[in-house]
Amino acid sequence: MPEFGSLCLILSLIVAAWSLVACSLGALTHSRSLIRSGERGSLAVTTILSITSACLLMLFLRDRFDVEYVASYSSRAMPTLFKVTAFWGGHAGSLLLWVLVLSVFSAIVILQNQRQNRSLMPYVVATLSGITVFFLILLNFTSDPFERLGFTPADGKGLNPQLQTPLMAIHPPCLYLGYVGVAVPYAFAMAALMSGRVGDVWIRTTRRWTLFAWLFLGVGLLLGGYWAYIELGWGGYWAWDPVENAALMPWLTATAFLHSVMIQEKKRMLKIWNMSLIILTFCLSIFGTFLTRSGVISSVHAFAKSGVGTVLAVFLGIILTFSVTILTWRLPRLQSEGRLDSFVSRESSFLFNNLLLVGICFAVFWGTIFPVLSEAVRGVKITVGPPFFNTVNFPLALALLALTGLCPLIAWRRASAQHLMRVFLYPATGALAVFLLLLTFGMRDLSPLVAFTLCAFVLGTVIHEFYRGSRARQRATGESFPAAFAKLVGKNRRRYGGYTVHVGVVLILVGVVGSSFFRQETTFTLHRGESARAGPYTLRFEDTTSSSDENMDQFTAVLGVSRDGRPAAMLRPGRNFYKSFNQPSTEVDIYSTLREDLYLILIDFDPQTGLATFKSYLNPLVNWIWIGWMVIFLGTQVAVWPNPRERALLARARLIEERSIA
Amino acid sequence: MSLRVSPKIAISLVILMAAFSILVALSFRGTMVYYLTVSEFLSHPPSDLDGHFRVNGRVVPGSITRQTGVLGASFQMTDGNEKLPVVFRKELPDTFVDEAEVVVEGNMREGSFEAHTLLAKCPSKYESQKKANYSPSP
Repeated sequence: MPEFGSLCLILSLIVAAWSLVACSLGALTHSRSLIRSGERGSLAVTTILSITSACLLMLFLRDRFDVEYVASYSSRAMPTLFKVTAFWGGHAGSLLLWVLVLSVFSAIVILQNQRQNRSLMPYVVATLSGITVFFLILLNFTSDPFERLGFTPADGKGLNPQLQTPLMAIHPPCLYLGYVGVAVPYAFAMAALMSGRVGDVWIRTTRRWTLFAWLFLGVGLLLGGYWAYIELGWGGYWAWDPVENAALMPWLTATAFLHSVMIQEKKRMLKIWNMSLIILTFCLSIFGTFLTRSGVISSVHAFAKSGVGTVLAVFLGIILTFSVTILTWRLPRLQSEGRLDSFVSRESSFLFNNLLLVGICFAVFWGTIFPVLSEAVRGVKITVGPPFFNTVNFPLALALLALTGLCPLIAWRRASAQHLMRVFLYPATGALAVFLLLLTFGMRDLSPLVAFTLCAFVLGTVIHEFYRGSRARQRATGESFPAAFAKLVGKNRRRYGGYTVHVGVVLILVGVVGSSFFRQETTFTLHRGESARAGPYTLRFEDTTSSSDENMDQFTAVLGVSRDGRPAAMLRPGRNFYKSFNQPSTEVDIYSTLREDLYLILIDFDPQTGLATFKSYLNPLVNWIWIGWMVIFLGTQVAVWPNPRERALLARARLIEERSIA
Repeated sequence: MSLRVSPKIAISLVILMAAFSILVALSFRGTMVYYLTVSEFLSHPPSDLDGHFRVNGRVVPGSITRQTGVLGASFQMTDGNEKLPVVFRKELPDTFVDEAEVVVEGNMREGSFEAHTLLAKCPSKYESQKKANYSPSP
């Protein structure tokens, strides 16, 4: 069976290479049969890779430890769910999942575009096949998941217990849907450049792909953060770890891209910028894919030694050279048709929003690769820690937040003072009220004060927008307010979906600011029956329980939590000891409310003295981060929902494109 | 250029870029930390960044000593050549076990390295290229 898997991998490489060659030649010679053959080849790759993946999955389910990859990430005692998810527990399997997702996306693109975008398609398929070929080369020659050990160990090494949670099971695939999803708009962008059809057809065609990729990158970030929060036991959710940064960067540039394409669609400006952004986003998602599993950033030496690092550098080099070359070649066709006139116009506020997003991305990138750079340049490794990222990004994020409030309200071209007064009066008043309220309640720290005020301002503008729009519609049509509201959103899904996403972002920032500026830590040691205080909470150490099986020893402390004298919850933080890993595992327990989380860990228990040491974190508002993500999810659903108006605009864009080519 | 902008906007862009560069440079200053191996740290610690270091190595098996009632542990870490005694007085991550790869941040104090942060690498998140060492079943 492993031999069959390896065979499938080689076969898929050959077919994908054919697909690349056929589509490229087909595009050059305008040969329909070649193009069709290339497309069919790509569909065949999807089928073969599905079989290959099924094969690897079977190896996991059958405990075939003679295969090195299976032996490294699975073990007999693991539940079936985690045997399945061990598929992407390591580098080779992750690559296979990546290329499988890519081939499925390619197939969907081909099936969607059998009658449309025919002049773009050969280039699209060629680009996607090119990426597929690269990943298949890696799988075949450097990281073969079917590689045999040459002997059969009695048991596998198993998956690290910290990773054995459903969250970690779905976190990588979500992130991959995002990373790989970016490849589709990238392929269309390249196709637009190569075919010379650089209007906004490629943007409108891939709008939902981009949103989809962006959303899943976000969901991946959310799941990763949430997992760290409930599993790692340090009370936080984000540490500016290179792996986290790697997923954040393409998300940031994709966010910039989602905004700037609107300028191109409306004003036919920023065309080069959009091309550059999608190229950048794709490069960052490739960078992220490799960083996540190979840990290349930890040292230049590791980077040079692990074959993956070299291959990554080569591949990124090829993508960049290729993309920039054809972009430069097509520069004359990418002339802007509009002009930025006014400071206070939506165009320029979008431009500033883009600069800020890219600026944040650049700062994160710089901080992430700084150790490698300094080692390469000065021979000594210098790192920058979380303080760097926080200091740089906080003011940038505030500026971005302010723009989030301002931007949608400023009119296109040039906004009048009168108009500004009208739309800003209420939100600004609301923000001022929040500011004064916070001052009265004793908040004196400037940074969170400004941040919360801006959050209130953005929320105010969005609510005001929804209200104004519905009122205007109500007046014009005579519908009831709820009906007017529903129709308003229904007819302008993209706009109001976008506003909803902004609300989600604000909620996330509220949670981040609350939990980073007002976090309280307490450490206390108790006998049974004793109590300690943590902020408004009293924690009474009631009892302990323990159990043991062949997999692990479990030990749990039971604490009664009361707030202001009233019983609130029972918390059960614990420590498990996984025998096969010779490693303890902290089991966090959280009393979670909208106001704050009481996050409790058991650090130590001494059976002789009966003394238990606990650490508690009070994390204000942290729940709003997860709620914010759900709001973003909802808003994105509203924005991607198919919409006759968008379809009409796409049809019109195609028509314009055909005319300008003819 | 395809992006035609008015001089006013162009100037403000330049100012923004400058502000951004200054922000990055300033943020960098206070947070730069040397990242060294145990041997590098012991032989010639550079002294230009206000005496703060990040050192990586592996936990020497059997060297971890914990005291009841006191948080953290003292242990030795090594890069294969030299050994460095380390004291850490906060709660330890789960991944801190014998032979774990650790990164500590802090400085020397009274003959041992006093760390204020300790990271221990999660074993299967970063996959090294080395072959796994199994014992073949009989």
